[in-house]
Amino acid sequence: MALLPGKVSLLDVSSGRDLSAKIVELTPGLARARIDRVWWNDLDATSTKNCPEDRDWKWADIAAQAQGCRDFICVGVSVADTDEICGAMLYQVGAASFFNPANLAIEVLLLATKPTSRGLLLANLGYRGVGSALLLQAVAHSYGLGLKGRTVLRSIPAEATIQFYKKRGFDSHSTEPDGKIKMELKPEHAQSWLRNKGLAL
Amino acid sequence: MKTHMTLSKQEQEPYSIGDSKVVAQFLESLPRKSPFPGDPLANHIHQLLELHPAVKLKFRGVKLADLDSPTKQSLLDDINAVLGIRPLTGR
Repeated sequence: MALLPGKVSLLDVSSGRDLSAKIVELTPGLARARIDRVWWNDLDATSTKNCPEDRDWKWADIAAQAQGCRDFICVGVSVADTDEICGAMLYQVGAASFFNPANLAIEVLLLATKPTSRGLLLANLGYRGVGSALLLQAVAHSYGLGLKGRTVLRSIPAEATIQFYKKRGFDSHSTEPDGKIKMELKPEHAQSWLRNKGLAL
Repeated sequence: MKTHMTLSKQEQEPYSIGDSKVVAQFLESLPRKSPFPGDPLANHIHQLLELHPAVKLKFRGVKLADLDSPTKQSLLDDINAVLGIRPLTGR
């Protein structure tokens, strides 16, 4: 497990209140009990008829494969005072920069938030800030390992999502055959984001 | 750290990255295991040394895993200073 266990604050959409949460290592048991058996089972069929393919991901298997690994980190967002895990991510340390492969980066390979926290599926439920918290964990870990915050990912080609990344300083690199956009957060933008979140450098 | 504070109501933060192909490739891969299971501090130091091979350490017969936590933390502070990494605060 990486250092930097991060405390984060989410917005509870239904109440409008801030909630404390933290980034935790995702163990197979935690993933099975709090994600695989819960996330999609709590929703009725009508609300998930156009659900994305991550519905079939088994986070317990992913966490088991990552457990004890040196270069792959699997984390979740745990809401304080509850048993809830509302987001999960797998990232790789030491991936190559898209713009200059000689530079090393962290690559976010997988990320998913609890379906109830996706405004596209169910309005006015869940939490906001989960995806942002997970991404920021990857950026902070990149900085802590001397990779200067450099972070890469492959985004779905959705304009709203691309705009989210661009607003935080990600640059588009190229489009892959499957339509995904290769994006990279360069050091100056990574460190600016960390500073803006109150993480003193 | 309030991760939602800079999100406007219209803004769509990412809810999914990756696809089932990435999952399958990862599950079929043989990732390297950490030489220091259950010791995040030793792992972090080891990873820093691997990522920055210009930083050389001589342990003189002592193993990293055998160092106590204050010594490992002191070692990490020194490596961070050499690499210009300022530990993040405020989390």
